Amino acid sequence: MREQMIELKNISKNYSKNRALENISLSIPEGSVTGIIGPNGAGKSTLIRIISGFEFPDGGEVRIFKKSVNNFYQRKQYLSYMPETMFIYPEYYVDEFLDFYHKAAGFKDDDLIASLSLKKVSQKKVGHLSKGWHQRLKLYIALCNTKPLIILDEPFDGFDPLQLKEILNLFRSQRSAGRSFILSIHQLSDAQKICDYFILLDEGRMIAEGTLTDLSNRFLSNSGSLEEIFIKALER
Amino acid sequence: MINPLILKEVKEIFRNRTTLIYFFLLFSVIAYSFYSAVDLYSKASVAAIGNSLYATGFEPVPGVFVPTFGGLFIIFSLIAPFLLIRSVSEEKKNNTLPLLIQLPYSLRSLFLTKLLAASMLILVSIIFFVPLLLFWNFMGGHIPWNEIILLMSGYFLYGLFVISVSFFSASIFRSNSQASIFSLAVIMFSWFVDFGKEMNIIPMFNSLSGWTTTKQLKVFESGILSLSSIFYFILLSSFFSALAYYFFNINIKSRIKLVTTTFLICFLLFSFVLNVQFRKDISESRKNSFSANETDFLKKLPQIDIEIFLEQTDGRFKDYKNDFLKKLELIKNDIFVHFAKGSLLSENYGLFKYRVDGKSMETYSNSSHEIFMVLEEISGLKTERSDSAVQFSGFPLVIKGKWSGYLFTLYLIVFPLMILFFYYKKNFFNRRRKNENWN
Repeated sequence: MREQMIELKNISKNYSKNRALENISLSIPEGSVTGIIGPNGAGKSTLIRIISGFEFPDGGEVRIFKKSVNNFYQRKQYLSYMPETMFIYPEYYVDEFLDFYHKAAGFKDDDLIASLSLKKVSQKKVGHLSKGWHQRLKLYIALCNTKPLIILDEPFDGFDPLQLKEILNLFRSQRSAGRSFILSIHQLSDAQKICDYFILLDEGRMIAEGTLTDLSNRFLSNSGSLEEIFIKALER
Repeated sequence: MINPLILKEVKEIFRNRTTLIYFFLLFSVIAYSFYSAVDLYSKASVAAIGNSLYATGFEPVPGVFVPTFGGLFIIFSLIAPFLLIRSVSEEKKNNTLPLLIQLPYSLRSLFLTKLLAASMLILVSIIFFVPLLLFWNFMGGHIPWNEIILLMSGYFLYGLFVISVSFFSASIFRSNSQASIFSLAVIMFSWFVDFGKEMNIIPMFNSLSGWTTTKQLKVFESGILSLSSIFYFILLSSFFSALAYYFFNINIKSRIKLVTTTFLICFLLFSFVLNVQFRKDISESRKNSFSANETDFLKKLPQIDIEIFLEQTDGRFKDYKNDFLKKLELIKNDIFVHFAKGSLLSENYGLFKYRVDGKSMETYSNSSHEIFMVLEEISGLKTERSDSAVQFSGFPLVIKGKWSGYLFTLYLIVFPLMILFFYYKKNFFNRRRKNENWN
């Protein structure tokens, strides 16, 4: 049996009077690709920010690799986080930005640069990149390290089907190298292709967690797609 | 090797187009202020050629350099915030802080690096005044280095205050425009207080006016090295920087306690600053000091109580303050000045009452000569005074003012072209070489 990588106990979060998360308790196994799914406003990004340490919960505890860690600095050694709404310095050229990043991080991954084909856009300004290329650059930053856990908020936005295929292959190779992923995804077909563990949220509450088979058994009479499970679960 | 984060922050500030506009404005204002000041100084100098007595009144710092730095004051107060705010607000707007703090940097080092880069902008702005000194020297003018260095230090400290307010505004507001308006309001608050005091609109402004940034900057402009003014700017900048950091730091759970503690600490330190009495006249002409004999005489006197029956906005009080009171405050710490109010004021309007060692005497005169006579009378001490209390022979006159016209070529053509060249060199020419390295 795989060890628990992340454990959340009774996590709650409110923004003024609006409830974002309510009493979330869950465990995410090590080595998994976990997809956090749910409709808009379900609390996916809030949950991801709390796991990453970029947001404080109002109550509850986050344990990473069985250690209770309270803030981002303590979590930094275990995880790499990429928010959905980050726009890398638009005035920088891609090569210039990567030079800065490599010097600052003290780490460079030429294979990853090649896998993401970043040399093709090295002479472009970051602000002039299309959404897909910008996403690639963000993925490079998220993956260019040796941290065991990668947390990504909507990582597949902006990719066309061909690019997506390429990126999913990259994820598979990263995973087989021993990395774990937590992804917030709203495209259920993408989530089904890459994730092996799911957390389903709605209106700040956790509806279900488990593998596709677990969820199928719970919500459908026979096996079905993630989309069917999703609709059924929300209808209840 | 330079730290990549410092390099990034310096790049962010110096290579954006807003900075280009900032420097073009700075050059225009510097050139125009200097040209006007030298022109006036030269015209007035012509009258002094025939009579050396007039020449003693001509001083390069108040005559030329203070008006020139006045241009920098406008640029720092009204233009620099727009530029400085970007350094923090762009990071917030683009949500790039998570990227930076996942690198081996803490939020504290990130914030300090931003402060450092912004300070470099202030420093570079001041450095562009150095060619003016050379010009002035070339035109036959004298450079009182002590006063110039003091003046530059004062503006640097004022620049730090502008940075801290801009960063604070950028940290608490989401939009650039809100942050810009807020920082302008904070920076210009001093102007409102000064104006309110001059117009005698709100009585509270009278007590506040001594501690506005503009008043404190005037201390540097008048050639007085004052520790309390230095501490004042350092404390004010530290206060706003600390607040900016609390709101910039996404890893702080509760800010209220921190803000309250910082406010209390700064309030206590400010009370201490008010009591720091070290003030020294470092002007070459000793314009803020009495003659040596007069100083010795005043030092021998015990505590002096002065009761003034004038409104603080009255021109006679202003003359009295500049010619006597300010100089006295540099020598003695034990002076008590009271302003009469109500019917006492209206009945005795224009009177000055001096009390030394239990004896008192009144005079309507605000001239130093008369005041010394009064003080001699009530103290029983004598001093040897001369009419040439200012024994300074005067600075060289500058009548070649027309040369300053060449400055326009330097500041409106050469420097802007130079800046443009460096901008394009960094952004475009150097790219070719970089690209070759990458491919």
